[in-house]
Amino acid sequence: MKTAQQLLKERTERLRKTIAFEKTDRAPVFLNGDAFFAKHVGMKLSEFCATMKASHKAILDSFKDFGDVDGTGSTFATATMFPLMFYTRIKLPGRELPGDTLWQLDEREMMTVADYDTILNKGWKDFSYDYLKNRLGIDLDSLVAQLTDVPQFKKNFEAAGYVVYSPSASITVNEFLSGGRSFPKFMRDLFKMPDKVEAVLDVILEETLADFRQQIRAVKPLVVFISPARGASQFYSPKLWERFVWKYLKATAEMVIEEGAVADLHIDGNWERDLEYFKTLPRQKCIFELDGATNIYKSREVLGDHMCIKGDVPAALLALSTPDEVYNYSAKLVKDLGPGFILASGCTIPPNATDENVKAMIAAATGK
Amino acid sequence: MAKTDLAKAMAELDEELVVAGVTEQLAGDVPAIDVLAQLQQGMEQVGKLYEAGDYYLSELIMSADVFSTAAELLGSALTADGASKKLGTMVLGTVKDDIHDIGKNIVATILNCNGFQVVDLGVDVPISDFVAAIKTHKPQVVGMCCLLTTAFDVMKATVAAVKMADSSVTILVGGGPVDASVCKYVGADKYCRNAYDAVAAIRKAVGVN
Repeated sequence: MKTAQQLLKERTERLRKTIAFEKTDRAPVFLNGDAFFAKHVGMKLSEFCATMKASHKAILDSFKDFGDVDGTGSTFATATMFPLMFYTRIKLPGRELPGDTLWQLDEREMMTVADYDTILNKGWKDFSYDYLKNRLGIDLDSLVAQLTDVPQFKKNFEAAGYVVYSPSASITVNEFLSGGRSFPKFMRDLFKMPDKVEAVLDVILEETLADFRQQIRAVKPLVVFISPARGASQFYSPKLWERFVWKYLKATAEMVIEEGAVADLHIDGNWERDLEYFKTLPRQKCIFELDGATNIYKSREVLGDHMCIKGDVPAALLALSTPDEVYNYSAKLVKDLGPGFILASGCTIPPNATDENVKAMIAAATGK
Repeated sequence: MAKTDLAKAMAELDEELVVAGVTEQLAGDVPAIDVLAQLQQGMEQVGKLYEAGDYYLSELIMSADVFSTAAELLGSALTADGASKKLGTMVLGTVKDDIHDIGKNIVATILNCNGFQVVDLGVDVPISDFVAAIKTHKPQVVGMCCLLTTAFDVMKATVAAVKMADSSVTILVGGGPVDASVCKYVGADKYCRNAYDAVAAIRKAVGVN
């Protein structure tokens, strides 16, 4: 029987080879999830969200029931961190919501057009700190204190033999504004004051990329998660997408690659129109992470061996279908898309996915 | 002076020209209901451009904004002209335990622009509120949406309660994780990928071309 360290080495190597389109013994399978694990271990979501430590323990305990999985997308619940990514409030179980209800972003216009001028005049960081603390009422001190445990969370997973897929993560800068302004208001701003929005995004990009670069240098991750969250082609006309999404996604990915890591592009929604753009990123230095909305076969057809693909077992399939249906869907992906394919749920495993369906997905990769 | 082609300006999302055109026509004693009809023609063109893949959600949101600005200018003149008469009614809401509303709001606006009355129940709507709204407003269509997969079961229960209250209503569902399989699971009549699917469905339900 292999030790945890042997398993970790084997799984890390499997991931590394898959990204480079080298032959492997089997497709890697990663579990990306949060609330699903709380349900799996019988923990109320209010307890799960109470501290990062509590959610970490639940995810790690839960993993032991799922056998030969290569690794995890996250080591703790990121719900309380969402306001720092989307610049909007969140409703949490046990706080604004009943104790076992899933957390949800409470998106409304919290950032004003006048804030654009403040950001241009004072810079992003000054504005950001004041906005998060005083306007959204986020307890930044508590979050920062809890984040000091994150390196240990990674060690705990690795000690159990699991790869922590992306210990560093970032969102593309347009999401700060689309969340803070609210998506509809942000869209209107793109028509009514495009030059100003672009100038603001340039300021935010410069400041955030400098910090993110330092973080990558400190952590030295194999893979860095980048979420363009709501940047899907389906939402934007080509000109707007190129100017307000692609420009910033490309800059972030290129910085990650420059620092020697692989950029995991979390492609939620339908990006099919713009697949060709991704071929301009360095070859085999990115992972195209799909959620079932972008056609995964079309993605492979366009991207070829330029980019590893990860995904895309849909949330509805994991929640509503039978294990056989999940297995067949997943096994087909493994057969058709490998090498250069990582099996995973689309986005995250939904909380109401059944254990049997998640196990069926894993079995499609491991053959067990 | 030539009358501004309001429908064209609307379809091209030219807000300044739309505002100028509406102002000009009202000053020239064009009935508000006729001005509204031109704006709606423009919105129909927006819908066609969206369906053709030339417009995207970004343009839909902007078109709704321009339309709302223009409709505000029409104001009370519109009511006096009897333009408040609607082609049909939809009761719309995000089901219980789900607070997401961006998609729902876009659907409501686009339906309004296309001449339908929308009774928007908001988010996190209890089953009993859907049932009560059906009794009060007698809609031809009920729209339900969710972004959470955990809301599928409550959506299913809501569909059943609505059918029980009025078996003649057409029930539409939509939202991020919703697809045809979810529509079947919850027992709804039709899955809508977007706001214009909903427009087509309500047109069919009320027998309007």
